[in-house]
Amino acid sequence: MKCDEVKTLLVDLVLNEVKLQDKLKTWLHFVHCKKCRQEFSEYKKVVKLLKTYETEVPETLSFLRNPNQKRQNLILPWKLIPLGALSLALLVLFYFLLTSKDKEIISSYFTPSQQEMFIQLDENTWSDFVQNMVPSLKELSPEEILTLWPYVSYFAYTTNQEEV
Amino acid sequence: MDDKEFIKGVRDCEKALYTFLIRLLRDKEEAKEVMQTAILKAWEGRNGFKGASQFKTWLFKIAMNVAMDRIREREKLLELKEYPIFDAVSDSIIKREENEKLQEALEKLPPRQRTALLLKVYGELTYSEIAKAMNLTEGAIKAHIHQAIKKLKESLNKDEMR
Repeated sequence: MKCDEVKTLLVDLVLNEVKLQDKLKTWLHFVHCKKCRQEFSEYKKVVKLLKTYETEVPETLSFLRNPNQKRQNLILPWKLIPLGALSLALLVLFYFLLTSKDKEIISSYFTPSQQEMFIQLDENTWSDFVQNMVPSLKELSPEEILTLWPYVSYFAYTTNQEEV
Repeated sequence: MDDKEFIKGVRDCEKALYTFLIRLLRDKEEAKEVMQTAILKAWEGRNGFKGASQFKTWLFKIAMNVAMDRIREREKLLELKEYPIFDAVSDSIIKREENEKLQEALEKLPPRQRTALLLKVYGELTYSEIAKAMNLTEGAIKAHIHQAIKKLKESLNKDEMR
């Protein structure tokens, strides 16, 4: 993808109106194009700023409110136990899956120059990438997940390297 | 649509709707009145809601129409009164300043661009839902929103450069 093409997608990308394939292509373009990445973060800032303005609905407007609402919304601690257990199980599963991808797999997907490029990426860009891509995983077909996997595993790999 | 569904639907999006109206009308009291009128209108017409669109889209469309009537009335009266910029909820002064800058930039946008953008950001409607609510084409909505965000970005950047 070229800069001109990416630029037409930046606003839609911030507003989550981009098809998954285009989203992937755009993110791959960001890997080597600082200018587009910068422009994207500026758009993102505008939308984030708009969204930070939140207002509480005044009591005078809450004529539809149920006096027992607080009690109804209360989540009992025991209800959180299965959720906690599930999250833990998923976390363990992801840990093993991610760390099991080693250097050989990564080098089979990327050329040395691409690997070099990824290493140069700062944490924020990676965090943006993961935040933007992971929620979309549910929209992917198994084949598409396979195409995305190397990026995720490479992320895990570089993170592990830093820890060592 | 039964009463319980209606109440749940309103509760689910009342915060977003109220924020949208304040941003659009720039006046808290007016936003309250418009929201009340819109919810009452929706309540009266709830049996006509067949679920062809999302409840949220339908409610936002009603609120937008009521708000637009208000804006038209306001323009007719040629009120030159400065509408107060909302008293922001933000905790910090910096946030408040940024919000004020943003509100100023929002006010400079043409009404269609502003409305489309606010429906997208606060209503979280899709381009096609906004197009239906505003009786415009999806392409036109996309263009309005793109231009609006670009202008906001430029105005924020301009302020930062000063």
